[in-house]
Amino acid sequence: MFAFGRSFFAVALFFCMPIGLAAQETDDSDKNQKPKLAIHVGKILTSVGDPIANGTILVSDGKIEDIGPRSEIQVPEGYQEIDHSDHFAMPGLIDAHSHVGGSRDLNEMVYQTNPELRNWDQVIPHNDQLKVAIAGGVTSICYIPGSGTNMGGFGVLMKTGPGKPEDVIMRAPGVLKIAQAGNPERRTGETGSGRMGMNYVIRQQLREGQMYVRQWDAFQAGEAPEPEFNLRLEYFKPLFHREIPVVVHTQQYQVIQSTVRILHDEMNLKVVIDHGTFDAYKIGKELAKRDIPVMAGPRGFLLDRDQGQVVGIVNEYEKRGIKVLGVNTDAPVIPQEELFFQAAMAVRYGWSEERAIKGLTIQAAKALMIDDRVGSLEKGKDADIVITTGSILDPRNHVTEVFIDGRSVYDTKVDRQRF
Amino acid sequence: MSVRTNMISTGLLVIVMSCAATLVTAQDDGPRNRRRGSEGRRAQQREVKPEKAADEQEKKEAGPITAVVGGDIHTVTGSMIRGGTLLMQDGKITELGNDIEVPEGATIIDATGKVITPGFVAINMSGLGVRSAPQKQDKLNDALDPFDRNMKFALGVGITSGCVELSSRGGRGRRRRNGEPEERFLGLDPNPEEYVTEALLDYGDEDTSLCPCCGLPVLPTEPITSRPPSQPQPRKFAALKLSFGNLDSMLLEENVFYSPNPGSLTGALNRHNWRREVLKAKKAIQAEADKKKDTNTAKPGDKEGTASKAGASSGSRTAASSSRGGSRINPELLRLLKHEIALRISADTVDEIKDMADLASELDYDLIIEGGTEAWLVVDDVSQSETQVIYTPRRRRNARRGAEETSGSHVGSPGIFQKAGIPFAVSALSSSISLGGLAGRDLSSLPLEAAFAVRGGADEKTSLAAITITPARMLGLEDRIGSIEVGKDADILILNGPPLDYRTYVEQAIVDGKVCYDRAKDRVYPVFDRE
Repeated sequence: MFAFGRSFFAVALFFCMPIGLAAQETDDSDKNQKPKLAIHVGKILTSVGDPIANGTILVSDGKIEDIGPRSEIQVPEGYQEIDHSDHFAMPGLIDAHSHVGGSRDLNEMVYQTNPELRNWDQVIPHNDQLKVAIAGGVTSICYIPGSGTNMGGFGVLMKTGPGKPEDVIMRAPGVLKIAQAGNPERRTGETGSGRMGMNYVIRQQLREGQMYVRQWDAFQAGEAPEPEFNLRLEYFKPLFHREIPVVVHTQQYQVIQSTVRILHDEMNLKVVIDHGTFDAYKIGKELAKRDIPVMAGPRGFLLDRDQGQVVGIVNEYEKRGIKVLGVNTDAPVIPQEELFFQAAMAVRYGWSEERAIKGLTIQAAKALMIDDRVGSLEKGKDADIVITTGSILDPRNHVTEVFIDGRSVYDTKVDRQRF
Repeated sequence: MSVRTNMISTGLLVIVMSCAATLVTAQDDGPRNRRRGSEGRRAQQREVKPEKAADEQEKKEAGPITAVVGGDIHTVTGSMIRGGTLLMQDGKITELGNDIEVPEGATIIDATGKVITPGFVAINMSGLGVRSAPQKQDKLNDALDPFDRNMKFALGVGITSGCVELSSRGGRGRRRRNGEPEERFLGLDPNPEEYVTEALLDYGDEDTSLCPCCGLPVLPTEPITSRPPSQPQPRKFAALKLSFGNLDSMLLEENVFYSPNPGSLTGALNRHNWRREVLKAKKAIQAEADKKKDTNTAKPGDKEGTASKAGASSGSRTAASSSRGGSRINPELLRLLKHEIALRISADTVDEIKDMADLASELDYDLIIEGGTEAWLVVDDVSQSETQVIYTPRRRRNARRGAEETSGSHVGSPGIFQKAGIPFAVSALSSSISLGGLAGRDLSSLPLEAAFAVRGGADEKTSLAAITITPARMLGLEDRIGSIEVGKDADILILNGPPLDYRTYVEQAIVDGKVCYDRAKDRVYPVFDRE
């Protein structure tokens, strides 16, 4: 029994750091394939500072080596120069809520909470949906289990480009998926057929996990004997250490209230509101007070029935001071490639274009806690670069080339325009 | 007094000019519409209308004049007029240009810095102005609702007229009605749209499935296959004008297409039957023409008899009685073969499109294909048969495995169509206004869908035409709607930016010369000033 547990533990650990072992191997063999590039661009939207007119991005080893005005960047010898001087460049887009990173069997619904489940074995890199997503500028997604139960399992953060699963996976476990209200409601009369019951099973499961993590922490600190290994609760460790966030299927004012109360205030978790639709924005100030990120969508507007008027949800959050604010597609509800269009519609309903560009990139990265690697064009970050014919928010423009980890993975000069 | 005589003479001038304008339009149609030229329905209308209008003119004086001044006018059919003036009277455009003097007493709408376009024409529209399809004996006019608030949401994005399908069908609703099993995911709420009281999205013919995560409908992307043969059962379409608050002008035209069901012209037997029907109808038309020639001198006052009667009488009596109405010719079929209306049918695969184009060429009728997913692969067949396409740029179907270059949809289709001279109308992803919260996917995204045509390589002008004059021509209503020309209906939009820009809002929508939508007053969409 013990040996059985240990071997599982080893497997679990392995998957906690898949990039450590497997990716290193590919790094060695692929070193020559990671090109050194100098990309000259008409206008660079970096998602951090001001836009750079006539800029150059130096790329080597999959990372941004340098970035700045073309006049200030010396292109070293041996760098392949790519001319996009009549185009825009921006960081790759990041979707905080997606179900198309692999197979769609994302709901196991025997139990109400399933912290033992993980979906990174399901990943299918560069699948048909993702190929088109790249043509829409999407380079990273948060691929998560469904909302058939209150706790669907742990999701994964991954790149959309080609490669082996260990090449594209950025972090596993990436996030925990919790679903409150709506879809996970059980209709058979057991606990969880209403919101009282659902909130109970969520709290109960998290408490169990918290206790488990505390026991291990105490053991690690030499204050307690080694606890018994429990695969069901193992992934709660990074969650309660606040190393990964919980993305929450939550919408409507009342439900978001319970999200804030239970997941943030009571459990002290890193929370991302991953739908936040209908009238939920009305609690925006409480979210802003706690710095809780909102990745709103896929619904982008609410019909205010009293006024008979359409209200733009993202802009309402903006008005209430949400700093880390973005959109999502819940792909395939909105096709993955239309992530930019979710932001465009938010702009149509009142949001600012500058905030929309950041919401698609750096803000989503912050929400998912991957902003050390992606979300902006800065020295040292992953070279995930999207080249467009103009502002990506305008549907009349299109993506002409996409680099992921410094490799060109889509180029309309070679490939047929996919979106 | 002089003003009044002026107005009357202007009015008369208008009528003369409108006749001239329509004639010019008919000639300007080019080769594409030559078959629907002077012998078509419009010619008949012209025979009657001016007289009638003149009679009315004598009875009542011309109405007040409204002037829209200072805007950049996209005429669609002509060149752009910067800072132009447009005069409207009695629901028609009476004058247009840069050096137009605004008559004294005219109501002036200042459009300085704004963009003026014709009202958009939605080739697919549902749940707007007509709530339930009228049953057999009911008249469509009695089913119209001029105060349907959904119309405001359509006017608010610029849609001033469109084509509604009257036969009840479409999407998930249809499947439910037919008692077929609903797609459902184990354990999911059978009614996942619990927070949304209205239908979320009407994807029409699309075989939608539900998202495993949230239960919302998801458009299919898997490869398409040709439809299996099915029985003919023509669909009915009517053109409506969204003249909010004005019932009289709502109904533009009934039976604007001859529209067999998808699949009803596929398969050898179906096609054999179709050829037989068409030949029979052609004989009837010929017989009618002969008869008319014979009796022309005898009964000069006799109006053209109803075509269906002529068809029935020319056919064999015994056949008619034995096969229970089998030889009664559909009057819409006769209109199709006289090039008064076009045949509209769904066709997506290469096979379907080629078959439909071949049949249209062989049997000589005008063809509009809806869908046209793989039309980009057979542009020669499409353009040679003068086929027109109703296309949704964002509708995506994957290629079949191993046939990536020769199957599936192509985002560049609009550009390919334009290059090949294939007229295309843009249809939104859904035909109805949906207030469930998914933004930019229902009928209200029509101009944005046209923006996606620009993304797909068509130019701005062609893409704007795809939601104005091109659908108007498909409906046979290009003498009334779809462009800004003197003599046409005064369906005008005042926009705060370029028509296909995603940030642009309609400030005012004018239908038949009346302001039917005002962004600041109606407040159906967010009202704000963009810095």
